[in-house]
Amino acid sequence: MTLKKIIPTLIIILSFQHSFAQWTKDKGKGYYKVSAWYLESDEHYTDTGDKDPNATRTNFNFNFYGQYGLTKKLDLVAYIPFFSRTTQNDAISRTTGQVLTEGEAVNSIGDIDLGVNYSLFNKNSWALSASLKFGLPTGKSEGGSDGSFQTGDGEFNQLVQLNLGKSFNIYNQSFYSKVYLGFNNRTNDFSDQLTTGLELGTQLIQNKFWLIGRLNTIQSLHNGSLNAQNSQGSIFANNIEYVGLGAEVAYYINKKLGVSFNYSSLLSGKIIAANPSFSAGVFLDVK
Amino acid sequence: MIKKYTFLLVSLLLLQTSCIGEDIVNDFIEPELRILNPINSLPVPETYQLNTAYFNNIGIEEETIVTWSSSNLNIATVDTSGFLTAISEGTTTISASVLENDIFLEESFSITITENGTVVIIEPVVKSGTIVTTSSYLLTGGFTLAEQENSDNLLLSVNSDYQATTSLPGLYLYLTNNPNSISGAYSVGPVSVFNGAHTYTIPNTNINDYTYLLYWCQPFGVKVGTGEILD
Repeated sequence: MTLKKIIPTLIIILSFQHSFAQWTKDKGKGYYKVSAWYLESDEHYTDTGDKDPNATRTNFNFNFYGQYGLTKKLDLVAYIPFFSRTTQNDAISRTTGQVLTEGEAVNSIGDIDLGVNYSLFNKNSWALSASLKFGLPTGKSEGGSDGSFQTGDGEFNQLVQLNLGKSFNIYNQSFYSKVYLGFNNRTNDFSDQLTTGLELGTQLIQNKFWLIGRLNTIQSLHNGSLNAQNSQGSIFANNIEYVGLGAEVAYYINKKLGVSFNYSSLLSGKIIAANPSFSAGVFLDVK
Repeated sequence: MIKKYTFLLVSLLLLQTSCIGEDIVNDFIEPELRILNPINSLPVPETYQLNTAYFNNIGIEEETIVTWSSSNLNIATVDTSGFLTAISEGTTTISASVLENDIFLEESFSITITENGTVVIIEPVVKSGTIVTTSSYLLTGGFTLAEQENSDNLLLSVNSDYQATTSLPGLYLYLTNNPNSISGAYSVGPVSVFNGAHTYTIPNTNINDYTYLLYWCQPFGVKVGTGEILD
């Protein structure tokens, strides 16, 4: 597999992850996608790592992902969840059929990510890049009757990440793999985070159909003072941790236009929704 | 073509997300008739107004017709409104009953009628219990609920062995008759103490009005722990 063939697929993957590829776009080239992401959650991981039930909530957003090559080595990347909707179900008495607690819905813009990706090394099927991403608190950190209908965390964070990738063939089948390691500096008394990930992808149909598997982790450094005592109402306030597993398929309808579908689930976690999420997108790849 | 696919995508997902769904809550409890202010003794010829509350199968108080009786009318009588009159010295059993939805409920207590002029000292009632977690979150400790002299307020004292997780968002404390629901419950307020002894004043509340402490996570809409209020 050539590097040129790998790039579009990597961008597809990373547009869901909101992280940046180890391979950069050439100057003037771009990749743009509109996606919808959906999570319906009726259980969550507690601070002990066990699963507990909760009133069913849905989180949904429409988002735009764009990556544009400013130079051969430097990309500008943006993730904009321009419409986010959070709902909670009505609670209905099984005994009487009456509504015990009215459900709610809050619509808002989500937190925007802006960043750059810089190529450090690109030779012999290996690629190493560094990413710098700023998480802007454009979403609602409080919403709804109890303040817990959040479409953002209310803090400005800065993620620094190293991405290492390699393309290779096994029995004439093209693959790529990627590992990354990042440090997310968070403000407003949130704990900082370590992010790690592993991806493996392959072209099932040449230039048409991709299958990608992904393993991601977030580890809290537990150095922030924010907790339930000083953030009443914030559902997933601080010290989120998880090990997530995902799968994605991407299909090129023609040379530029394609669709992709993603499924993500957690293997373990703390203080985070325990149900799987789904996303689907339409992308335009300007090569 | 991109417009077509985007439109399809948007339509499908809007269909899925536009409505607020329903969660079914198992909130059944056995209906209960409760005498709110029983007394142990009363001197001749004093009178005393008894009060009751009927709680339906989800723990909500409902109006109902209560039938009163005394096992020995020579000792004490009680009229249809629960008005008790001490007649002569001795012991009798006062009963209240209801027939609601074909379910018969009866509650009774024993009372000793003392001689005329006896001074009856009514001590404040103190109840107690243990908070236990019903979730994976840490929540434990003992408590007492006590009447206050010359006051309609109650004092809820949580003991020094109390511990609660600080990771849980939006933890609230309620007094309730249904440990599975905050419907009809009295909200004490958000929990702000997560370790050690502390107190809450519950205004204008009878000590028999509620049977459980309920720790409830507001954002998650689930109970985290309960503590049955025991005599």
